Amino acid sequence: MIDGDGFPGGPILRLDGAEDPREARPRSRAAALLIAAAIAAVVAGVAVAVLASGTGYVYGGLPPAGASESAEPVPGEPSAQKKALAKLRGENRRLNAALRARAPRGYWVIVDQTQNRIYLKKDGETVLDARCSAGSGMILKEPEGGKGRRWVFDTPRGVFKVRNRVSDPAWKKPDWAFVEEGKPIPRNDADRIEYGTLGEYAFYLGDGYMIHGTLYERLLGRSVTHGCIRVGRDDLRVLWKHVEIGTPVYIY
Amino acid sequence: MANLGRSGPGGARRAAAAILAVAGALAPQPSMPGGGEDARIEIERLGRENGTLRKYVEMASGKEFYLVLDPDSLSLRLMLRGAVLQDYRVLGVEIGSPRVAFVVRELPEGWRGRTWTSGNLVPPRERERMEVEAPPPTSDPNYEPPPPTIPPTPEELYPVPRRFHVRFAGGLSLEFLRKGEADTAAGRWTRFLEWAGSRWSDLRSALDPSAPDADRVRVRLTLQPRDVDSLYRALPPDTELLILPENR
Repeated sequence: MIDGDGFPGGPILRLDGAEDPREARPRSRAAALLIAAAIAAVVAGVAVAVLASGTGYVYGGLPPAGASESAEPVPGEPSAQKKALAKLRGENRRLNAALRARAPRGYWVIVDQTQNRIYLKKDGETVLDARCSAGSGMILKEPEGGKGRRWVFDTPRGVFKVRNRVSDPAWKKPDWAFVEEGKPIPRNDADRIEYGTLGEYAFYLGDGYMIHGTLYERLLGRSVTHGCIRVGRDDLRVLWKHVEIGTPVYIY
Repeated sequence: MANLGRSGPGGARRAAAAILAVAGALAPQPSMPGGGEDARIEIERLGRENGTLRKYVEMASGKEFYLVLDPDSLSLRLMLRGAVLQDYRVLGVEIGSPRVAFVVRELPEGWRGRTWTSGNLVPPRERERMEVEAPPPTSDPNYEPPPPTIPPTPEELYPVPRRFHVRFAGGLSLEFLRKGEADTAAGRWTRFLEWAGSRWSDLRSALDPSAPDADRVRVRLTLQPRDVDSLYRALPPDTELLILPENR
C-alpha cells in the first residue's frame, strides 16, 4: 500500500480501492450544496411564478366613482341651499343648450376616409350610406429637372362646409395632374380645363378639395384619389338633392 | 350602390338621439327636494353633472375628435364638434386595475368624468405610403401614362390585430374585445405567442406604473367584431375621451 501520509496536499492513491474519507466529505458537501441550490432555484421559480400570476390586471364590474373633482362644498342653511340649487339648475340649462347648439341640424355629411364610406344625415337619421373613395396617401415626387416639388395625396380630417356646388363641373387641373401624367405643365390656364372627369356634380370644400363623381366606379371603396372624395353617380344625385352651400361635412 | 335610408354602422336612430339623449340624461331632475338631506344630495348631483357637462361642451368646442363612453347606457360614440360620427353599441364593460403580487392598486380618483387626452391606437394603424417619382415630362402626343395599379381595400390595407388598445395620456386605456370571437382562428403557436406577449406587457405595465405606456386603469369593452374592426380602421389620431360618471 502506498499512502499519501507525509505528503500533505499531495495525491492520494489507495490501491485497495477504498475511498479516502478526506475526499468523500467534500464531495458529499458539494452534492448537498448542489441539491440545496436546486431546491432554492425551484422554490424561487415557483415563488416568482406565483407572484407573476398575481401580477398584471384584474378585471371586474364598474366600481363606484370617487369624489368628483368639481364637487363644491354644500351650504348647510336651507336658504343658501335653495340659492345654490337655483344657480346650479340655471347653469345646467345653459350647458345643455350649449351642447345642443353644437350638434349639426338638418342635412350634414360624414366621410369615413379610411373605410371609404360616405353618409348623408338628416339630424340624426341616416339618409344615405354609400361607398366612396378618399385620398390614396401616395407621395408624388417631381422628376429631376423640375422644381423638386412633392405632393401628398391625403384627404384632410376635420369639419368643412360646402362652399360651392356645381352641376357639370369642369376640372381645372393642378400642376400635379400634369406631373403625374408625365406631361408638360401648360402656361395657358385654358389648357388646364377638363370636362367630364368630375362627374355630374361637384361640391367644393375649399383648398381644392371636393366631393365629386367619378369615371372609375369600380374603384369605389378603395383609397385612390388625390385627396378629393369620389362618389358613385346615383349617390351623387342623392347628395345633389339635399346638400346645399353651407352644409357641414365631417371627415374623419 | 348605396343603402338609402338605412341605418349606418352602430344604428342611426341611436346616433340621431345621441346628443339629445346625453343632454336628457344630464338634464336636471324636475322634482324639488324638500330641503336638508335631499337638497344636499341634489346639489351634489347637479354639481357633478354640471362638471361633466362643462367638459362635454369644452370638447364639443375643440378641434379634436373625441370618444364619449357611457358605461351605464353601454354606448361609445366617436364625435367631433358635437356631431356623432359613429355610435358603437357596447356589449360589455369591465374595469381592469393593475395588481402586483395579488395586491390590487386603487384606481385613480375621478377617472370617470375627467377628460383623457392624446388617445392613440396600440399597436398603431400603420399606413404604408407609396412614394412615386413622376416620369420626365414628354410632349409626345402618343405617350400614354402607365395605368394606375388597383390599391387594396381598407380591409386589406389595415388588418386589425386581435388585441388592441386606445391608450390615453395619464394612464387610461380602452381595450377592445370582439364578441364571440373564436380563438381557433389562429394557430396554437400564434395564440401562445400572443398570450405570452400580452402577459409580458401586462406584467411590465403593472410593475412600473410610472412608465409612459403603463395603464393605471383599463376599460375593457366588448363590441361586435365589425364594430371593433371599424373602430380600429377609422379612429383618428390624438382622440380625447370622456367617460360619463355615474349618478348623473
